[in-house]
Amino acid sequence: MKTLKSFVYWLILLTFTIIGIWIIPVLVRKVTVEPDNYPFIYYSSVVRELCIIDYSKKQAPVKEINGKTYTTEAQADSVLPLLKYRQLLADGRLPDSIHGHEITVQKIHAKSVNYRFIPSQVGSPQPGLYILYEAMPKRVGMESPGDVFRLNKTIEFIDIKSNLVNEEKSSLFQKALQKEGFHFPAQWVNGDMNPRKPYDEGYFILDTAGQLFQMKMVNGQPFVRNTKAGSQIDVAWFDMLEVADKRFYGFLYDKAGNAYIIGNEDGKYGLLRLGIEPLDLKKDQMTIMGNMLYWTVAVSREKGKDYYGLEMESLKRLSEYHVKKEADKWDKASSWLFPFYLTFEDRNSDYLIPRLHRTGYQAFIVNGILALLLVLLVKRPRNRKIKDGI
Amino acid sequence: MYNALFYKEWVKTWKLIALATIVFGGSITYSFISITQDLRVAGAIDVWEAVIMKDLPLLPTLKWLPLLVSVLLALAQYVPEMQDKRLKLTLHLPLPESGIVLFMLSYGITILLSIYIISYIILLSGLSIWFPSEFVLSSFYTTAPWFLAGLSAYLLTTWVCLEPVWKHRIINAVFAVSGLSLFFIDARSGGYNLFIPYLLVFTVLGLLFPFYSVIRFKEGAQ
Repeated sequence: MKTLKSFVYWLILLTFTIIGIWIIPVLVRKVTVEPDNYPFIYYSSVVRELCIIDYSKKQAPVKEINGKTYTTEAQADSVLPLLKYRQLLADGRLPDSIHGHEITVQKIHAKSVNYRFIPSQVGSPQPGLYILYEAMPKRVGMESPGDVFRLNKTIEFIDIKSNLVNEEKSSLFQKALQKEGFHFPAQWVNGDMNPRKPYDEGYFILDTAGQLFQMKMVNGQPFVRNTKAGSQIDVAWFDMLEVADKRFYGFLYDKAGNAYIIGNEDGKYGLLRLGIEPLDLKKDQMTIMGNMLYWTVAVSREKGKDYYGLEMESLKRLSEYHVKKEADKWDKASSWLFPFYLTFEDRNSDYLIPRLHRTGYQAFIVNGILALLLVLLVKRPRNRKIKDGI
Repeated sequence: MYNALFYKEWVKTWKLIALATIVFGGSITYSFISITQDLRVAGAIDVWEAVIMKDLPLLPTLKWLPLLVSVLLALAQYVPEMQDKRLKLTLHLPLPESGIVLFMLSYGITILLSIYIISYIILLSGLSIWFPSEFVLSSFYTTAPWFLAGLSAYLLTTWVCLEPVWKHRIINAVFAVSGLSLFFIDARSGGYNLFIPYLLVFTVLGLLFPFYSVIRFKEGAQ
């Protein structure tokens, strides 16, 4: 019994120490965490440089990264016409052209690109069922097809109302995929299931051989094409983005973390690499604000944030800027309080998994001193034996 | 002798078991009524699309039920044992003490598992009438932590109840609540898939905790 008691005692202690390593830092983090305070930076099409924008700083709302400042809001708006076009339009100051490029509101809208990549998109739990809209609908707007498909060892369309497989449609698409050389099962299926979009380009599917296929439904018939991107790069992930000018289908990532846009050039799929440093697809976040002349790309990494100004046509890098991450209250508190801590949630993944984080050696010193004080100051209870226990 | 022990546990808990069965049955019935209402009013297409695109949960009413029933079952079984230290008498039966404790725990776990498994069979069979296997499997994985929380809560509540010293009971209760919070972390569908084995390990470990309380009780800890 003594052995069992001792064993269970240590088991309880170990179990709840592990839980404590998780729950106490969670509570401290709730009290101390602050948002990352990175500046908003945009590539100016007028001065052709990255500019730091903060309209709360009345004396310098816009500052180029080389130091030149613009001291009034009106000046700042003029330096960023493709970002502040609504204000300039209201003031009657929208320019007709910028460096020889004609500017109209229609062109600004048509070429506008807003995109965000977050690591939790990659490898997060997938529903396993997808909605394939008609790519050329007779009426404006996306109409629900009334079925969903799954893509495992074969493709199956399931009628929603009856919850039964539509054998005819499934067979049609199965043959189309096989004809194009698709190797089942799919590694992943990516598209945009949101019906609120101007058009539908179906799904991009990575087969087991690493080849990337596009599949959509045109007038009820399957359209399947091998993009051949898998022959050019080691495909890791694809993110669909339906842009107004249909310039490209979305963003493609290879296993080295390089980002590309994949578009249609004369009936063939073409890749164009973004002129930025490779991403860590498990940790880095990327946002793109693109206009008709330039793209501003911001990549949040572990140690800071990188900003890039890219030329819109070629996506070549024109400028870059780095902002180092500053330790917030949580970083400072955790490095002094916890030599290590456990988390189960992670902003970069939707899966709950235990992850151990190490902080700094100073927490060992602090905890060592606290343990010593506890031993010296707290009286140990005397062992009292009860004669008539049981 | 084990028959007598079984009868003793049954006398203490049969009303709660009947109530739990009614509540589970009611909750399952309500879940099906709610789903059929959504399918009828909003339409199957809207419901399927909401599940796929917005991660709509199909069985939200069940979340706290397994935990509540298991805590009440543990209280019904073990609070009477701790009144006037009646557990002394139970442990004096001509049976191995660890066997007695194991039997009592097994009784509770068997009752809970029976309710949970029957509920699962009815729920998942019902869902498969209206929804594809992906939704049914997703519902299984979403609800599995709640049912595991029920089993774990039963063992942890037993550990708390059988602890003879009030100060330690409070400490054990704080530990138990912190451990049970592992089962209710906010996660999207499928988020718990890789975490369920860890929850299983925690639940199985919890089987040993009540033995520690019983040993302390026997030693006359005050």
